[in-house]
Amino acid sequence: MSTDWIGSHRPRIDAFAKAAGKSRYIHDLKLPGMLYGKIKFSQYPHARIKQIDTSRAEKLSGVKAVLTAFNTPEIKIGFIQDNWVLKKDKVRQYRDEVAAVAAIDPDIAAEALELIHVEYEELPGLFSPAEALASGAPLIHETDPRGRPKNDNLLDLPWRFEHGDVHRAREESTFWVEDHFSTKATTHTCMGTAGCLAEFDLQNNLTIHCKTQIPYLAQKDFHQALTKMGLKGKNVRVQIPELGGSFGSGLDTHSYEFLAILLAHASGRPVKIVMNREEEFACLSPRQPTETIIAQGCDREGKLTFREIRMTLDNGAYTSWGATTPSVMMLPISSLYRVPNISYATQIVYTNNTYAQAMRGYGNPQATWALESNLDQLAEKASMDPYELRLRNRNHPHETTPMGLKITSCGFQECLEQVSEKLEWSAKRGSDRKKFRGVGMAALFHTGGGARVYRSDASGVILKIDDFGHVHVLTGGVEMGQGFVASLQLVTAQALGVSPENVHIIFGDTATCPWDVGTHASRGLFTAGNAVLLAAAKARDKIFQLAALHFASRVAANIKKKRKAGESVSDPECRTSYDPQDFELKNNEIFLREAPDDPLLRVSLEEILRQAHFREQGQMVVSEAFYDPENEMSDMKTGKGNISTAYIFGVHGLEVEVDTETGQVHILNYVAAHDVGRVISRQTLEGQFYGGIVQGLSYALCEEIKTSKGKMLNPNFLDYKIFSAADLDFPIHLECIETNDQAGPFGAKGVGEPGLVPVAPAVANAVYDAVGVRIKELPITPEKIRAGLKGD
Amino acid sequence: MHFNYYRPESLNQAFELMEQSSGQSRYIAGGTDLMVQIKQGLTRAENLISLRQISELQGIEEDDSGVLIKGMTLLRDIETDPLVRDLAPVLQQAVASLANVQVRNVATLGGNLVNASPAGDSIPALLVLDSRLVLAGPEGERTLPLSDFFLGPGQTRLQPLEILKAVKIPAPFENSRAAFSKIGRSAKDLALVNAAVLIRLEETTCSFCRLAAGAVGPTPQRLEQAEALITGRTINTELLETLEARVRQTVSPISDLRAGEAYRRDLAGTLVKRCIRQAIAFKTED
Repeated sequence: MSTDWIGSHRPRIDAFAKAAGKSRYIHDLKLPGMLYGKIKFSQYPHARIKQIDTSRAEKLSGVKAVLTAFNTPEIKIGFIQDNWVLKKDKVRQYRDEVAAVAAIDPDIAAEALELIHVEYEELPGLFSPAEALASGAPLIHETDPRGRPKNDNLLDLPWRFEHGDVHRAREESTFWVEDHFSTKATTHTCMGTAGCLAEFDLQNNLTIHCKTQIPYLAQKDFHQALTKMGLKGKNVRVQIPELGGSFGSGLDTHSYEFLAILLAHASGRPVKIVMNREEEFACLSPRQPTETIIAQGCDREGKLTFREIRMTLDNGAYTSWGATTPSVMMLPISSLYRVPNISYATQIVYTNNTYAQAMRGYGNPQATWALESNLDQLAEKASMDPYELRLRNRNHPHETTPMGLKITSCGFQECLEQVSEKLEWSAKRGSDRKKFRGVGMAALFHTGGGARVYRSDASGVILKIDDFGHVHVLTGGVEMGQGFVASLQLVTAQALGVSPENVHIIFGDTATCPWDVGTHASRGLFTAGNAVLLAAAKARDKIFQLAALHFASRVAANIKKKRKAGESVSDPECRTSYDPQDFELKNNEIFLREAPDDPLLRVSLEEILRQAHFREQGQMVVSEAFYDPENEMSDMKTGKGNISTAYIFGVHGLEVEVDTETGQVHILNYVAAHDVGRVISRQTLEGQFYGGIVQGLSYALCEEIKTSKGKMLNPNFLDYKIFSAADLDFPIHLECIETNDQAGPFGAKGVGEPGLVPVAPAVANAVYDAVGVRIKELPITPEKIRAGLKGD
Repeated sequence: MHFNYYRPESLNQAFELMEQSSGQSRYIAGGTDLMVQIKQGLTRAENLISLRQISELQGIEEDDSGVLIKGMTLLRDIETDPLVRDLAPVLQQAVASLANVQVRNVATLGGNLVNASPAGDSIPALLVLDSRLVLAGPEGERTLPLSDFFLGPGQTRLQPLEILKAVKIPAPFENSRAAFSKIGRSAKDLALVNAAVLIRLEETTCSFCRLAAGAVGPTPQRLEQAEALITGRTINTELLETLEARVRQTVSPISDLRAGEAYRRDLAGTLVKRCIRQAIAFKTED
């Protein structure tokens, strides 16, 4: 039997329950006496609240609590605390929360909302950064979060990165191309809609079941809310049910969670709020739309000389952690390919659109869209093959980039070569325009070894072993469908020397699981896996100490048992005392390093544990580890700092055929190569990449939140189209380059986000190769291609 | 969401329930559109009268003039029915393009027609088949050509109590072939535009044709100008290009969330052209 679990095809342990419908999501949770909460959202994108009349709702039978900003303490939320759980003076977006109710059933709650009358005075709205930046534009926030008057609609968060002399480099470049690229708001479309369930015990301690990727940071936010509610110092327990996808939507705490807490406190009953699909679309935050002006240049030989990027982000009405996405955009902008001169500046603009938040890739897809599309334009200008241009400027192992990122393992070259080969790049590129066929590629660069976006990048685990050899790993990380549990299970099994079915990953409870900064930035397995390696090493030390005490007696007892059963067993060469370093543990068995194959000189892990527990002055095996990688926060002023311990590279390429009469893009073949460090759980890894690619294709080809004056027009899957299985009528080839990163658990790097990052520019480049139409605004719809072909 | 739900077992019971009920009442067939509308608050209904238990509304039969499909027949049953395959394969092609198997196992042909969506996929196919509708009311039955049935989006000639009892599809005449085509934003989608053709060729000459398209006007429609353009003429690439341009000129689509007017015009012309090619397995000279 194999004991090598790393890289195995073992099915994901959580897949069975999910496929069988046995997993329990927030929608399945129900407590005795539980009430259903519902939120009344604004009817205007920008308006002054003159009056809220809740008297009729309060009188409705079955309604247990009705809240507005006028009968609750003021609770501010968001990255810079510029948002309110309930709005009092103004609404600044359609989804602003103006009231909330809790009732004995959802229908009564909905009816109560209709009975709440809000009187507004409509204000002029601003629905694009251009409108919001125009002179004389009304102010969306009259003051900043500290109460100082504002005089424009800019967020005071101007991300910049400067390296070298871009102005001079542009003048000296043989070729350069400047253009404008944009992306639209898109959303996470989690299969499981968002929701939470809050309850207080009789001592006013709070338990909240919620959808979060940051249980311990959420705990802090909820603590602050309790303080505002006069419950300072009470306990907050965050529990996470099974999550049906999150994709970054759980990186902030949200108004609905605080409203459930307020309603539960007001009513004295557990309160659940679950978004329906329309609310999930229209009332939660999307990926930020961007407008980018980019120029890149190269010399005669095709060596990149500079990169200049000016980007405008539509923040929407308030500020989430998503406003820090430019710090991650800086990674590819400063460090994808060797570029000696770089200038990057952003402005983030308040508008009356829905406020944006984090989503898979955290700004990287928007940056890579502009960067990799423009790079193909540069290749054309320089009359170079875009593959050759990329190869010539690729990053190398063990180099430090202008941002101060210390690249260690780097399989960029192999990724480029694999994609080129599998796609038959040189034969296909530029040759099939008559058939309207083309190939395109794009590369990606992302954090793969944690990411110090907060002061801590740490991950805690507790590992304990029971009387039966079963191992429970308590982790602060979060399984949200990505395969964290399956991967950590294999890492634990391998590190400890037990079989995976004896490893159980427990997550999602701040009361029992140790601290972790959050599951984001593709860091889950990297940091928790390293923590498991530390904890497993400690556990093995302890196990071998116990083995030194109990091994000889257990071997003797087992031989005695065999003889009693009639087996003829000769006495093994057994010493009377052993040292801990004499032992090895594999496949749940402890044996001697000097006699690894002796069938008698071995005892099971569970026997040793029972011996340790069931005796006077016994001992237990519980180990813990808190792993914080060796990386650093980037400097807010210079943007420099090695924020990750390892970096992941990848290249995607595809062949398309464009139907010129309809503008439809048919994908014929898709190849994606990633330097993953090392494959841990193959099924998880493939799931992450297939999922990322499909979500990326959806982002590239059809997804778009459509609005009219800030109101979402397509809050449903009928008109918010996403790629489904039926759209995948082409092969996807995955190539995993294993570079065995020195810092990764068993050499692995993070793979959560990368699969999505380069898809859109790869598609745009392939479409251009096929028909000569350059689409610069996502999504790349058939309608836009058709218009381009007609020369509109 | 509250409503009274009734399950009459005969047409007469259904008429009675509809007549006697107070408040907003709706007949409900498969409900794949109506329930979504109710959930989204776009339609209000205090009473839903289900037509599912009415045996008179079930089944596919051969009759003297062709095939008769009862109103409550599931789209999935039409898609897999051997009689429809022989007599009206274009309808199967259209129905199979609609949503997915799960939806087609609930949605009905009558529902797809009475819903009167300008993009309803079964409609262009039934238009080129020259189908007639049997409408039943308390006073008896009447028949109506499908082409006269639609008044506008969601609007039909059905009287308040009437129920679409059956669709009569005449048997195909000799040497005629038909095809359906549609384009959505993704593999499974409503039609941005859909189209169907029925054509009879003598040698390479079109001796007869019917052309229809959906989502290019307030109702799915026959394209009579385009029909006149090709009838009696040799079908070749040049004629098809002219036809494509003519269709683009003559349809009157709108711009909405799903597609712009200009793009829909382009698609209409292309789809009609492609349907003809598909129907006659036409090979271009290039």
